[in-house]
Amino acid sequence: MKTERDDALELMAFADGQLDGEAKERAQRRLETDPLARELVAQMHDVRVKAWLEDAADEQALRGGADHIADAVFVRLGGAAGRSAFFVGRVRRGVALVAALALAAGIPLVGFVRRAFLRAPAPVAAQLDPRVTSLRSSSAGVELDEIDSPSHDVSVFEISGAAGELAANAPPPSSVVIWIDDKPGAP
Amino acid sequence: MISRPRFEMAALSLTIALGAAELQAGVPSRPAVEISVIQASLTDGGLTLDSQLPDLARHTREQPFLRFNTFKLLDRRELPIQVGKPVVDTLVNGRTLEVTLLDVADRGGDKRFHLRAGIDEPGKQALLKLLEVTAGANDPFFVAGQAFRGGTLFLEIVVRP
Repeated sequence: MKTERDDALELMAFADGQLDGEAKERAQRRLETDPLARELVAQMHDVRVKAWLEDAADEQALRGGADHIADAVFVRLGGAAGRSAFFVGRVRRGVALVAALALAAGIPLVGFVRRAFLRAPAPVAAQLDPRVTSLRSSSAGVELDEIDSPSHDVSVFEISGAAGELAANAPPPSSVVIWIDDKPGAP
Repeated sequence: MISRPRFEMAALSLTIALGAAELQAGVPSRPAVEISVIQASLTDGGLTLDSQLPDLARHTREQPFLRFNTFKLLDRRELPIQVGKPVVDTLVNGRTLEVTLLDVADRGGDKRFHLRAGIDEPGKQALLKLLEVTAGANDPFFVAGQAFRGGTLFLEIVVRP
């Protein structure tokens, strides 16, 4: 039986138009019955998410530790209990979807959430991966404590001011960009 | 009746007093929250960075700045801030940004400013109901994503101690 991560990868391939035959039909059936799958595919069509993923993939220095977080996220994606927890709010969902996409692509989110210390709601990755929460000890820069934007999706970007120079032992990034979707017609 | 020398002395004193007050008024009250409204857009050509945004250059290779190549400062204000007293800034798109200093902590000799922010729009649901960050002095953070005149607004918020 396939894992949730395989499902996500298949959906990403579907969004990219790379599937055909049985795999394509399987993805289409999944989309018909699974709102999360539909949202994942919709997110994949968002040019900003695409750009972010591509750029993140290029950041080789950020690689490492993806499997651990990815497993945790996709375990959470499976099952009714996990699913309902996953859909607590739009903010958490927006962050989590980007996280899920990145993780499915093999991109670790340590850099993404390292300083996104949400207290409530907490980011999925930070909740599930103790390595991420253990990074609370750093005191420099900007710490993100809480976000609530019930009517708009939110993404969090960590910025260091030293793109291309990030490494595993680099000091924590210095700031964050809170990106709030401001789609035309949004409430 | 005031004699001329006494009148001149009084006038001089008044001038000095007014000048001192004016000088004092010109000194920004601290701490203050500095709010810069930056319009980012994607245009033909290379990177164009407003000369008033020199610190932004180091971020232009990072997401989400990387999506744009033109950054223009639309507005910049420095608002004195006190613990528990919200300050409100009307943004160029009519929305209002409210920032409250919740507390100031000392961590290893460095001041850490705990801020709460929200962005409202009259008659609509809040764009940003609540954002809380803890930042060091002169450490900026950004709230971005608002569409504006074919571009996107980046709000740079920084506490000036």
